[in-house]
Amino acid sequence: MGFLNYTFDWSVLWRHPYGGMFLDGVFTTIHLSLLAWIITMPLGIAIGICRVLPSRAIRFGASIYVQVFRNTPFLVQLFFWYFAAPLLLPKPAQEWLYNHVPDYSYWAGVTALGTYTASRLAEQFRAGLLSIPRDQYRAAYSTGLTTFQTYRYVIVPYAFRIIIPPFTTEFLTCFKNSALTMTIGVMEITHTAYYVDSFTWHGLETTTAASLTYLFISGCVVLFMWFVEKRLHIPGMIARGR
Amino acid sequence: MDFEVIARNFPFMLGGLALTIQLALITLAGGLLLGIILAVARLSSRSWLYYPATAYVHFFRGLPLILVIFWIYFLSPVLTGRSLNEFLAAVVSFIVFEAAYFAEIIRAGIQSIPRGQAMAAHSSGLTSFQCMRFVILPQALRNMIPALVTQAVVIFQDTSLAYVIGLREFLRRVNLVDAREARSVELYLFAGLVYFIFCSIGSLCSQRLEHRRERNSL
Amino acid sequence: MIEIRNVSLWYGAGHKALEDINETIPGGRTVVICGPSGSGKSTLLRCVNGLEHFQQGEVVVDGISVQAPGTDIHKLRSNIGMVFQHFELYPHMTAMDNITLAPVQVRKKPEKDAREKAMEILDRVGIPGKAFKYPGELSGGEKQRVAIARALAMEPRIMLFDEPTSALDPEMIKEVLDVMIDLARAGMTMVVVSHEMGFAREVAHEIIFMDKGRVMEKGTSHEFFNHPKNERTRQFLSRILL
Repeated sequence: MGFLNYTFDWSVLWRHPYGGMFLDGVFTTIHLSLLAWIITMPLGIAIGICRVLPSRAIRFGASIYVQVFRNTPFLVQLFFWYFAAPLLLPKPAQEWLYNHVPDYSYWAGVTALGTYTASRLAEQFRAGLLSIPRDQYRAAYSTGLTTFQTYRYVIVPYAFRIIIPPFTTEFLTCFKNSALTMTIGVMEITHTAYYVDSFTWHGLETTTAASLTYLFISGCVVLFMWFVEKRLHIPGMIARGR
Repeated sequence: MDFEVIARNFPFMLGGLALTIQLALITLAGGLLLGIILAVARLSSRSWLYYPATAYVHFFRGLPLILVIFWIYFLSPVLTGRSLNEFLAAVVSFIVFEAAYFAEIIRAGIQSIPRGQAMAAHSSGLTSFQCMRFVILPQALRNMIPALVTQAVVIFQDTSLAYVIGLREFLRRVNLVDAREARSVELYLFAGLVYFIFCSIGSLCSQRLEHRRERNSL
Repeated sequence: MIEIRNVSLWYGAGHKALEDINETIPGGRTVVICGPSGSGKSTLLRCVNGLEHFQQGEVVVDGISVQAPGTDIHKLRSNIGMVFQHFELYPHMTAMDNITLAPVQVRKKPEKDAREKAMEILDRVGIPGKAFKYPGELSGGEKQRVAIARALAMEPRIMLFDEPTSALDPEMIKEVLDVMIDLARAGMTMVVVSHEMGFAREVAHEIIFMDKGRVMEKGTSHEFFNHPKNERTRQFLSRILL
């Protein structure tokens, strides 16, 4: 079998300089995802709300955003931000970008990831808002609460609990998509695994380590969100599966 | 803006589209098949079916596709002694990965059928197999179609990842043209547009099917 | 004949759904089981045709023990008909197909014969014209009558009814009860979980009152309504009868 021709060398994972590279890769993945998420949350929620506002123009604009970003592959968007977007800027801005922003690929990655995930989040948020029965609003208004009070005390706390699972899923998707930024040169986990292989020919160990890292971090996020959900749980509200 | 560049390189880039569509269709077929097996295993009460299937699904859903592609690419020479050709590596990775997502869609579809239906079927003396075949699956499949179509659209987009192992599908070819012609804006807008057209059609179909189902259901 | 001997059923650690039930229902009799929600009446019903698994005791139907290892449960079930509170018609099939599915698949009856029999039964329950309608096109009362026809198509010796009229509009209850009264008068062995006391008074040979998983009281309809012995029974009757 092929195993005979392959000697495992797990020390590539911690040996100098590779150990350091791996750690850097892990941190890069984490802060890239978090920065993208900082863009995504407000943008996604805003667009989600725009999708349900009374003004047709606003609704239409928001749905264009969502359609465009959802129906093109993330990789294409990434390439667009990295290769094409700077060319649309006026010459002086372009020069500044190329000469004064180190790690331009990192920032292109953050922008692409942020805007892409925002479109997905917008849809989840909209679904969450729409799932609240109209009678909830009616009940609140009938006791004399103003629109603002209704949203503040009744709707938002209710919606918040509904959207936690989809938001968690979207964050994890964002986290996994960060791996794609390797195509424009960002040294996150997957790229590091590939890179180390090109020096050591031990790609199997590196990709296994990378896989376990993703699984571990995803697992931590899921555990944390499960804990948060439990704390915020309203008895009898959302039926859990059998 | 020079849109001539698109016209000049059109045939070359479109050739990639054919490969993309091929990849997508093969992945769809293989992924669905494997997905059904996994879904049934996940619903089974037999531990030797349930645990491996559950582990499989959680494993692949927790990883980026790009990593799975690399993994298969590095793993296959070790297992088979020779390196895999790019197309095969891409196909295997995609099928293995997307099956985990299909499995969840199918499982959710089957579980969404109310328990009472199975009870009614069993109470007339139908076996579990007959119950699945005549009562549960027909209803479940009808419910699942919008989600399956959406996943097919996702697969179509995911084929662009074969880029990383050098497969000359559509996006890779656009990228090659860009390297030569350096007209990034036009080219990536074009790429985006092509994907957009295909995926929008897919999403529209999915929405139509969803509406049709809602109108017909009780 | 149905014999229930010392049957106990519990879910998980604390919740006992049935406690030491002992009942015998002779052939040709109609027994009505009533009681508050959670008293275990539906659970008991489902033990008779093996849809619920009980941990202690025995249920013997016409000499066959339901949970014995050698029992052909599918054969047993084909001789017992069951009607559900929420009808549970298969929404993707016409009334005719709903009725003929089991005879064709389980008894291997030829399609033509099954259809003829189905039309006879539909006539008997009063809705021959609805044979080729889908459940979505039928009213609640019609759906339940199709459900009864579906159960009768297997020519069962015993019919089990689980709150057959609880989900119906008040106007449709009568049409379903009329069908059930006809069946009872024709000599079918029936076990009916219901709150319809008018029906019980008319055709029940015995009424059983259950609370918290136990049989609290039983008697003929005359004894039950006029001389209830148990305090809890009296309380229940005073609340449901006007």
